[in-house]
Amino acid sequence: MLHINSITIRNFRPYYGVKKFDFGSENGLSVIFGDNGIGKSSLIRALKFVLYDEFDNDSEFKIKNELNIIAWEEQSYDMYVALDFDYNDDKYILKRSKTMNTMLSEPKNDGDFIGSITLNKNGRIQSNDETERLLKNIIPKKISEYILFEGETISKYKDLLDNNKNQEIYESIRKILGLTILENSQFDLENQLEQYENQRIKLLKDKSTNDNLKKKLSNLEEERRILEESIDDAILKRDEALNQKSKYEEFLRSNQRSNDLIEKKANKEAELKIANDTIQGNKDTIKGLIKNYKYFSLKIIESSLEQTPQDIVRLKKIKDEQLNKTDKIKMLEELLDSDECTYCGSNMDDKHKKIIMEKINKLKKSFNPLKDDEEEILLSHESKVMRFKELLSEIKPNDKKIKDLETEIQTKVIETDRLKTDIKGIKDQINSLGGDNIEKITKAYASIERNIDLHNKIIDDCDTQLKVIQKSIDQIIKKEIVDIDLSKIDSKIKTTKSLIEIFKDAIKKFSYKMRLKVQNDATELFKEISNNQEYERLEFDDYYGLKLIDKRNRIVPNISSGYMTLITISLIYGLHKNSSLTGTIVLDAPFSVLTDFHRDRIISAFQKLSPQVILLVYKDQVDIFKVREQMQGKLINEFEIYQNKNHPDYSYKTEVKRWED
Amino acid sequence: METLAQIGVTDDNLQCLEKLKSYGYIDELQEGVRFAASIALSKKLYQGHNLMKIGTKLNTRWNTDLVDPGSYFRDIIKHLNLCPENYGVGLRSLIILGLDYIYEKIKDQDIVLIGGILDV
Repeated sequence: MLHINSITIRNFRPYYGVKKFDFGSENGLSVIFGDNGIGKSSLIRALKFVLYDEFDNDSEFKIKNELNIIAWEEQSYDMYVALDFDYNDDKYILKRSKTMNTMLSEPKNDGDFIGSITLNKNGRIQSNDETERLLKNIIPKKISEYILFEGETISKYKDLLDNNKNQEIYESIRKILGLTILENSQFDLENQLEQYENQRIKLLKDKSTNDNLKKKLSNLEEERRILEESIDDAILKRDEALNQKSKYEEFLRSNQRSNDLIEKKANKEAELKIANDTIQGNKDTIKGLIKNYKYFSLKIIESSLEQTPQDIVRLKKIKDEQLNKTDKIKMLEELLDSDECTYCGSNMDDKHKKIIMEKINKLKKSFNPLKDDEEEILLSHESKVMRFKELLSEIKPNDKKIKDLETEIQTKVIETDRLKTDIKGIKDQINSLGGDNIEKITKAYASIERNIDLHNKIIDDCDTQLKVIQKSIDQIIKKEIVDIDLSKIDSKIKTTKSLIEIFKDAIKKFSYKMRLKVQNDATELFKEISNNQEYERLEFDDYYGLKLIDKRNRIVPNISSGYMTLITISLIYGLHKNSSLTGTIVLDAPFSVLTDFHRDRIISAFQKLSPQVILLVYKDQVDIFKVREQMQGKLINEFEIYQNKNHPDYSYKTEVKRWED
Repeated sequence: METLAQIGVTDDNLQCLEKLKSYGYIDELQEGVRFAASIALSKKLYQGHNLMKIGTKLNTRWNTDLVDPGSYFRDIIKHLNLCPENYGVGLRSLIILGLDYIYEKIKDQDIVLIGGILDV
């Protein structure tokens, strides 16, 4: 619960210097009397300033309009409002000030003032973030209209009767009754639902991608299986052919001539294999050397590092000289400071010091540092050298020369060509061997050799394809296909949707229930303070549009201004009673249109409105003796604000006086 | 599979890369591209050329980071001030110049011989 202990004002509007309203810690009614135009409403503005940094004027130079004129003329460009209050057993002092920037002689606009805020909680100053957070919690700006009732605020409530719908009041009533908290929870849930639905869409996309990958993987695996089968089949057939070939060879070896030729062919084939292996091996080595691509540009980095441009040499020399001079100056200055010679240890006299000073000055005079662009050139060169050295350290040497490997390839290619020709010649010789059986077998032998070559080719081709397919399979497997389960997110979406429905229903019911409660409580007070027995009750529609109903259930037309004020006070009572908001209410001049009877009734109703009510009234509007009597000891403070008309500039010097018993 | 479209070079450059690949000197086109850039630097093929012009003539804007992930070429181009306007365009130019140079040497060869063009 909020309780204002005191308000202290300095140089704010008609309050010149420091003025204080000390309400104390006791609950009850505090009345501030004053003539019109001397500072009653300014007190509410002071509260708005200290709480919300808000000025109630539209001028371009707002602070000039708020700062007391006499203070301004005296060039005392500072003002503040301090609020001492209790909230939920904690003690707070909030102070907000505006002070002219000390670098200036006269302020020209709001920007020339420095604003500051301090919040002291139980003797400890709070950080700015904490101050902001605490103020938002204790007295949020949006509900200030339920605490600080100015004439304008009250007229807004009267709009409820005139127009039956005031969106601003309707929204703030919903807030004060806690409906917006529920609505915010519903919005939070709706946002959460949106997030879940987005998650679901993403999961669906991922699922679709995964499904495609799975399908692709399955196809590739099928292709791999077929290829592996083809290879197995070809190997089987080749092995059978090799078996058959060896049988033919066995037969042919029984003939001396064919045996010699087969032997010769086998030797040539072995040589061919060695030559082909050498070619392939060299190509693989070259492939490895090409992969080490950085090695081929090694020389350009090395030569770049070896050749330092003349400009850089010159700049480096200048820089080194300057560094040297800086060191010397530093050393001599330290020597001067120590008063003692570093070398002999004896104290230096003025003559020696003068010599050292002259040396320092001479060095300083000859100091000619590099220009910015020269420094930049030097830095850029140093950065290049550093990076190039790094690059050099990354380059691995090539242990073989491509040229040598290629020379051997060339030789081996020629050798393979020759060997292939030789083998072909031997095969022809075998084929042309005479004799029935020999001729038959040699033909079959040539055919089976062709078959073996064919099977080998099939095996090689399939193997090459297999490698490509395996690479694709590996790439897909790397992407980590996981099974995506939508049931969890679907369950979350379902639960959130149900919660939203529950909240919607709850808000509707709560809204209706609160409206009835506010209506009943407002009616209760209204009947207490009204003297027209015909008026039966107050009724609110869904938007808190107000109607006054008479005993015969008719809507009362043309309600007088006085009754409108009574209804407004009744509504405020109904709202305060049914909200979590309890604490100080400050009311500014609510009596202007009331009869004495109603004025008296309202004053007695203040006790019900809130534990602490601060009433700002025009002094002839109330009979203070009557108030004291009606409040039965609950009137705890009486202040008068006045201006001493004998004083020059009295209009800007409102004084505060407490009426003691 | 590596797509040729990812590496924007001339038709002759692609022929050169395919020849190196089919001869068994490279497994992937990117290996040939890096080799060519290195040769272009080593042979100072950039001298007398407007690299901005060469590197943009094909109207492709492929990301050279694909072939230079460690920023090796980019830093050399930067520090040798070869193409201060755009290091990426500079690298594309080196690749094109390097491949042109290699292809000129090997296009008519049955046995591919690149050793002769190397300084090291």
